[in-house]
Parts: sequence; C-alpha cells; structure tokens
Amino acid sequence: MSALTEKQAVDIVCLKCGIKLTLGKTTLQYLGTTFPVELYKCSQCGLVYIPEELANGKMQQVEASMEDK
Amino acid sequence: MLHEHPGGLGLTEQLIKLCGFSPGAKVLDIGCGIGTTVEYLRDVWKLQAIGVDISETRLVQGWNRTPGLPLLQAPGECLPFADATMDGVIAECSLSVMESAGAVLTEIERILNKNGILAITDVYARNEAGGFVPEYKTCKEWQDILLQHGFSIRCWEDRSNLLPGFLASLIMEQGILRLGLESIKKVKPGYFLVMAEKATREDE
Amino acid sequence: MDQKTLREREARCIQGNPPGCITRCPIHVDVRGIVDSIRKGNPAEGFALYHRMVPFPRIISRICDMPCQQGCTRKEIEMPIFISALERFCVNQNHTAIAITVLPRKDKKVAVVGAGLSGLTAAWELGCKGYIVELFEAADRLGGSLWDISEKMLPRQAILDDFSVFAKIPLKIHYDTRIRFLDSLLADFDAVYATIPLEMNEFRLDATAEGGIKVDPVSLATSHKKIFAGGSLRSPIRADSPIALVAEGKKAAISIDRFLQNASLTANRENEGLSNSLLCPSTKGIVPVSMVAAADPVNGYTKEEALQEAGRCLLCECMECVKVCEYLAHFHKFPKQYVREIYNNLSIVMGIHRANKLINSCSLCGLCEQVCPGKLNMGEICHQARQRMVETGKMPPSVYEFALRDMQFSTGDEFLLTRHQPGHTTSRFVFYPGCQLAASAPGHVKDMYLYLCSKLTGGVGLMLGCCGAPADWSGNKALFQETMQAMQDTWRSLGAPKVVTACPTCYSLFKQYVPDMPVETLWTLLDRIGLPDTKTSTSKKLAIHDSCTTRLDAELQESIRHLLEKMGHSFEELSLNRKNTVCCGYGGLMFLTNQEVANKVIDRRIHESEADYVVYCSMCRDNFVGQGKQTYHLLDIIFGSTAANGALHSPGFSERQENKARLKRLLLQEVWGERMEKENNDMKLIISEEVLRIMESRRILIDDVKQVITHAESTGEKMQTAGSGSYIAYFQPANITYWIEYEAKADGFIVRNAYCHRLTIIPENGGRK
Repeated sequence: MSALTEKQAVDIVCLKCGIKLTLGKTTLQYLGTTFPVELYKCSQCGLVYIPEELANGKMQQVEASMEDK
Repeated sequence: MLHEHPGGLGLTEQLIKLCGFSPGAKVLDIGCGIGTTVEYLRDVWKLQAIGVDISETRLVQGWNRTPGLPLLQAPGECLPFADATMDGVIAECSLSVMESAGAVLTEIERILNKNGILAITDVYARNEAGGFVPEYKTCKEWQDILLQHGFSIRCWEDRSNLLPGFLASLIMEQGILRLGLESIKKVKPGYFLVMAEKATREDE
Repeated sequence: MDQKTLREREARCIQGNPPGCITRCPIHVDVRGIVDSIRKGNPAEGFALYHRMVPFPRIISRICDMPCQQGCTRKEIEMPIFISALERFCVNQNHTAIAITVLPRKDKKVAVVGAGLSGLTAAWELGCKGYIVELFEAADRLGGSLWDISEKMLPRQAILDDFSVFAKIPLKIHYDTRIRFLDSLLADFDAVYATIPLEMNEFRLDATAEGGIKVDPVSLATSHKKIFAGGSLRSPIRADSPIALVAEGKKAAISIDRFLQNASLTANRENEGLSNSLLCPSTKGIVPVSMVAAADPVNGYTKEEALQEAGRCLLCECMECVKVCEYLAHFHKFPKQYVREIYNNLSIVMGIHRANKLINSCSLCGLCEQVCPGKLNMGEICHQARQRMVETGKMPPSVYEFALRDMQFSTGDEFLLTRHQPGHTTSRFVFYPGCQLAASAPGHVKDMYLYLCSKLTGGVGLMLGCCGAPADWSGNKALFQETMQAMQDTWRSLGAPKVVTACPTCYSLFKQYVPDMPVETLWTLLDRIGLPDTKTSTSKKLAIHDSCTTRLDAELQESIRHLLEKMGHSFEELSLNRKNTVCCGYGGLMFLTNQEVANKVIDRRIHESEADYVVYCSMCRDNFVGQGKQTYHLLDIIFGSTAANGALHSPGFSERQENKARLKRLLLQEVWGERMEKENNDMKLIISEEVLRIMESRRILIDDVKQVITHAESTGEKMQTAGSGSYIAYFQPANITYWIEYEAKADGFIVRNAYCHRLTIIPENGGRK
C-alpha cells in the first residue's frame, strides 16, 4: 500500500549519491500535523521524490482537508 | 510503513505504559491486522502477545513480513481462548469497526483473568452542533457499554489531535473520493484512549 | 457576527418573502406557484397547490372574487393576472380523484350551524382533523347562497362534485333543521360554530353596539367559550366574498381545534388574513400586454390561452442583487441564506467550514447594497468574516498567501522608493502611482511623474510602494495597519505633502483610514491642471468602466468624462456604471481566490458593449485584456499609446514582479542619476509558452524557479530519471516547496516542468531543507 501507483515506480537516481531511489518512510507536515508516507527516496542522503500527479492530486486533497477544519 | 491506526506505535507505547504489564504477561491484540503491534509487544516489551483478526489477507501479509508471528484468524465475537487465560486485551481502532461491540466485550470479559486489563484506543463522536453519525458512539456511550460488560474504567484520555495526521495518511494512500470522506465530513470524530479493568465481584 | 446582527441582516434581504398575490389572498393560496406550474406545462402541479388550500376547487375557481389581484404587480402596469381563470384551468385539467388525508378519530364533537361556504369549510377542516362533526342546515341541500348564483357561472354539477368529498369524512348532516337556540347543542357538543343569526336572549352573549354578537376578530370566539361565530353572520359585506367565507371557516376550525386541546386561541396567528408583501418588484421596462380573454368564457381558458395569460406573470421576487452579481449567482442562493451560512461558518468551533469559499470569493465591491431595497452589503459581511477568521486562526493559509507574498515584494527593498523631486529638498506633492500600475505599465509611471514635475511647483516627490489593499481585503487587520503605518511614516518623512494617487483603491483606502492625509486622485488633478500635449491616435467611441472602489465618488467619475471629452473622445455609458459599477474581478482578491467566478464576472462585463473600454485602474485593464477585450487605461490614451498592435497583453505574475523591480532601477538611474546595485541573478532560463502558462496557473514565479535551480546546482541535490537528460530538484524557500524539471545547456537552463505543494517534507535529521 503506497501513495504511489505501480506506474510511478520509475527508475530515479540520486545524482548526489549516485544510487537509485527506493521506497522509504518519509514524514510530511502541514499546519502542525505530521504523518508518515511511503515515498521514493535516497537511502543515503534522504532526498525525496514526489511526482507531479501526487503533488497536484492527493497532496492537494490532504491540504484542503486540513485547511477546512 | 503507514500507521495502522491513529498514533501508530507511539500511541501503543503510551497505552502499554498505562497498563503496567509484567514481562511474560499474556496479552491479546484484537483486530491485529498485519501484526505490527503484536511484534512490537513481543520484541520491545517482552510480552507473550498474540493477535486475532478476521481478515486472512491481513494475516498473510503479516506472516510475509515476519514469519512465525503468533496470529490467529477469528472474529472478535468468538475468541478461541479458554476462560480467564489472558492478562490483557488491546483493541486499537478495532472495536468501532466490529459488528457488535457488546458481544465482543462479553468475550473479552470472559477470557480475561481476574483484574485483567482491557486497553482501547478508538474513534468516538464528539457532541457538537454538526449532526451525528450513528456508528460512532459518544464518550458516554463508550463508558456505559464498558460498565455494562463488567469493566471499571481506570483512565480515559482524549487523543483527538492524532486524527488529522491519520486522515492525511489515509488520503495519501487512497485519495479522498475512495474514502467517501465527503459525506462523513458532517461530524468531526474524536479519538480516545481508555484503560479499563475487569471488575471483580466485590467491585460490582 | 452575533445573533442580533445576524437577524438584522437577514431581515434586510426580502427575497423568499411571498409576493402580493399570496399575501393578499385570505387563505394564502400559492398563486405564483400555480402560475409557474402552468408555464412549465404542469397544470396537475398547479391543481395540487390550489387544492392544498381550497377545499372546494370547482366552486371557488369559478366564483372567487380575487382579492389577490390587489397584490398583483401587473396591476401597476396594465391589469392584474386573471388568477381565478388560471386556477380554473388547472381544475379543469384535473381528472384524477383528489387524495384526502383524514386524521385518526378524536372523541370530541363539534356542531356547525349553517351549511354555507364558511360552515362547510369549517366542517371539512375539522372533519379532516378527526373530529366528529355534525352539520345543521335549514335547507334540504348544502351550499346556502351558492345556489343563488347563475347556472352559467356555477354549474350545479360543480357544486355536487365538490361536495361529494364530504362522504370521505365522518360527517353527519341534519337537513331541514333550523337551529334557533343553542342550548341543546351545547349539551351534546364540545364546541359550536354558528354561521347564522342567533337569538340573543339565550346566553347573553356579549353584543356589539349595532346589536350583533361580539366576536373576536382573531379567533372568532364569542363571550361563551364553546361558541364561535362567523361567516355571513358577521358581516354582510363578507357574504360577497366567497374566499373570505372560506377563510372564515378555516379560522373557526383552527380556533376550535385549539380550544379543544386547551391551547391559546390567539397566539401566533399574525399570518392569517391579508397583508402587504415585503417584496417591491420593479416594473421598469416591462411592456404592457393586455389580459388574455377566453374565447369561451363559460368553459374557461384553453391551454394556449392559459399559457399566454400565465406568461404575463412576473413571478415576482427580489433577486435584484443576484441579477447583477455573478458571485451571488454562482452559489445558487440569495443573501438571506448566505448571511446565515456565514454566521454558521464563523460559529463552528470544530468541524468543517463549509462557507470558506463563499466568504473568500466576494469582491467586496458593494454593488449589492446599491441595488438592494434593504441596503444589505454582502461585501461588508464577507470582509468582517475574513477578519474574524484571521483573528481566530481559521483562515486557511493557502487562500491569500500568493497575494500577500506579492504585497511583501511591493513593500520590500526591490520596489520601495521614496524621493523628493531632483533638485528639491521639500515636496508639496507626492505622486503615488500604486503597485499595479508599476507592474503593468511602468513606462506610464515615469512619464506621468515627469509631467507632474513639469506642471506643479513646490516639488513633486515620488513614493513607490503598496497601500496594503491585499492585507485589508484578506482580512489581515494587523498587517494592514502595519502597512498603512509604514506608508504614513514615509509620507511624513517627505514633509506630509499632498498625495496624488493614480489608483482608485489606494485613494479610497487612504481616504478611509488616514483622513488627515490630504489626497487627490490623479484624474481630478489632471482635469484641473490640464493634460500633457500628446496627440491622440484615434477618437473612436469608448465605453467607460468605472472602478468599484470609488463607486460613490461622483466628482472623480465626472473628471474621467471631462478628460475624455477634452481629448476628443466620444464615450458611452455602460448600463451598470458610476455608483452601480461592477468590479472587474480584482476587488477582494477574487481573481486569486476564485478564478471561476472572476472569469464569469469578466466575461459578462466585457460583453456588455461592443465598444472598446476605457478604465482608470490598471487591474481593470489587465483583467479585461486578459480575456481578449480591447481596453485602454486612461494613461494609454493620454500618452497616445493606443496602437492596436501589441496592446492586448496582460502581464503574468513573474513579469509584474520584474516590471516593478525594473521600474525602481530605471527611475533611480534616469531621474535621480543613482545606480542601484542589482542582485546578481543573471541565470538564463529558457521557458516555452506552454510551461510559462503552467507556471502562471500554478502561481510559480520565475524567481522561484531560479531559487530551486540555484539550490540544486550549488548543493548537488538533484535527481534524474534513468534515460532522461532532465534533472529533478526541489526547494522550499518559505512555505511552499517548488519542484522543477530542467536541463542544463551551455547557454542556460531549459525549464521543462514546474509544480509545487504546501505539505512540507520533514528531513530525517529534523532540520528544514
């Protein structure tokens, strides 16, 4: 179960560390609330990848749901 | 990776601390899912923790993660344990999704030892002008049903601040429409933590 | 907003109140609804509405005296709607049996004396309520004086058909029974309704001066608690009004029902009977059309005739503000309801704030107040609601963030500029062009400043800055006050000169919040001192769009007309002009909070006239040009830059910021001979039109892109999809995280994509990236 779909399991390389990104636990925060999400990230330096569809889709839904409260 | 319930293992830790089980205590996690809590209780707190869940799919996921986890398939209304064999029962966000909380509580009371502990974290309906959702019990309804089934409440705490983060995680996983959240928005649920003790004859 | 204010505001909105045809009907038949049903081709619905109130539809629709017509707005135009004929049409169309609901039987007995319209109505209503009713009638048939009406007007069969409903209730009828004394009735019945003259010497019922029985007009009670009296007994005049008799019967039934349940006879009965409507529909521009006459009056309207007469109905309601405001129309309700929603929104302690969008989409322009009979101002309500939300921490940060960030730029070092005129150490005037004119037409700022310097003596200073309108409109009182204070301090530092504003919004805010500061608009000033000597290119006819923030400033509006005349331009007025002008979509930051409504607003406005528009606010110009309308700012005409080519460009967000910064540098250099150290941000970006459009819609500035790329290139923190040449990098300068996909080339960076989000990524080690 992941925030990403299978389609988005692309090959992305972290150019700083020279290694491929793998799924890992990341913490997101907004308006004082933190929550964990599974995202592709560099296991070495922690650089995270958020695809456009996620940013414009579910992340926007989360933002809206938290703002209306 | 994701929290299985609001508060995740952080909240489980708080709950266990309140219960004060000794190492080796026999504790049942009811609605254990993929067994994250059972594993945690065994590894970190050295409890003899077992889990039951009605979903075979989730249990299989749990065994794939950690082979050999003591998980059983059973409904909450019919627990495969003899009377008075458990020191504690934990129900994290599981009673509210079971068909009959009353029947489950009867079973829990049966399998607990004298002075056994029941620890629950779950959703409740906060009274407010927005309307109500019948599936969510209010604080009073929770307390009443626990009392009716032979438990005395030692500790009740509100943990509603954990809900927004949990909701956010759910949306990230499934998207807002899949959850049908638009209609549930009519009421703002709360989240609570309760530690109750099986009442002895003298207490009643 | 407290409860009291809520009710006061709700009361100002008269929409939802019934029109005159309903309020002047003694039994409040939904006349408007019936006429509307006919227009919709649904006479069955019309019949249902009619029969809900009228127990004898076939009779009443033929003989009703129509007091409702006194309340018909068309009465003022030519003739009221022929309402009973339309009702009769619905009755004629009905062929299904009328469904009746009779409540469970009660063990109380009521006697009704006299089977005229009033008595029959009372008997019917009480019977339906479950009471045991006995009707005493001297004749051998029901209906009283109905039988005196001509057969042509009231066919006997109609009477019989209507009265056949009495078979459906437990009603015992005593024909050929004349009651003269009530004592026997009082023994056997719990209540009596008398509609015929009674002997006075029995109960010593209180009498009126004229010798009739004293009857309470609200409840029809007499001085004997069980006896109620009404109908033709009470007033001979009433006997001529069938509908009044029906109303009387209903009134008696209500009174008896209450009496038998020990409830108050008089409480909450204000709505019974006639009243005037609170609506005041306008008759302006309605073409007189004569009433439709039935070709066959005996049988009534045909379908075509009914449709035609129903077509004359104005379906009276208010909705004056909704008619002129796309924002009010967009949410499909009307102000009375909106006010309640906003009140609820502000009262919620925890829960979903459903009305946030409603509150944040209003342009605050106040047009509604100008057209509302009750002078309700939605802008005032929304503005206060926003302030409350900000105070209580309920304003979602994303709503106004971009506007406030833009304002921050306009009050920051890259734009702020304060100078006396070159060669002067004091200023008698100061030119305050405003931030949007600088963003959109920086050249005009310079040209006008130089002109003012040449024309006015005593020194003309210059102040570049922002008056704080975005802070005010977003409900951020503290920030607004801070900004205003800073502006005032700067103004004082120049020696408190007279402020000349080019922007109507700056002008209106200064006048409202800094009344001690002498301020004048550029336009009234130019009207006085004269225009620069530039030849205007064409003298085509222009339509004037007045600014909404100065809707009440008639002098300013006049000066605009004078200036156009002086420049040889003919102009036309739009129908919503001067104090009734519409906002262009910039007001209240609508174009940022609700693009959808803003587009509707702009679209409607630009189609009001075929002519090109002239405006005197830079944002009005940009908003109209942005949707393809040829619009000139007054300065375009004054400085002769009305060439058709290149005119239809509305600068995007990045360009606006760049223009502001460049204007400051330009003025310092060319007017004051000072060189400003420019931030070395010489990164060359290559961005296609499509990506620019995407950035614009996502409110991503070129500056933001540069920050991400700079961060990525300097830290090496970037990613790459296997097999692609593009880099992916992200950076969070303040609240928003920007993602850029780009390629590095020898001569610059090609930007392939840009997106952003507000959820913050928390790095593992806890620090902020």
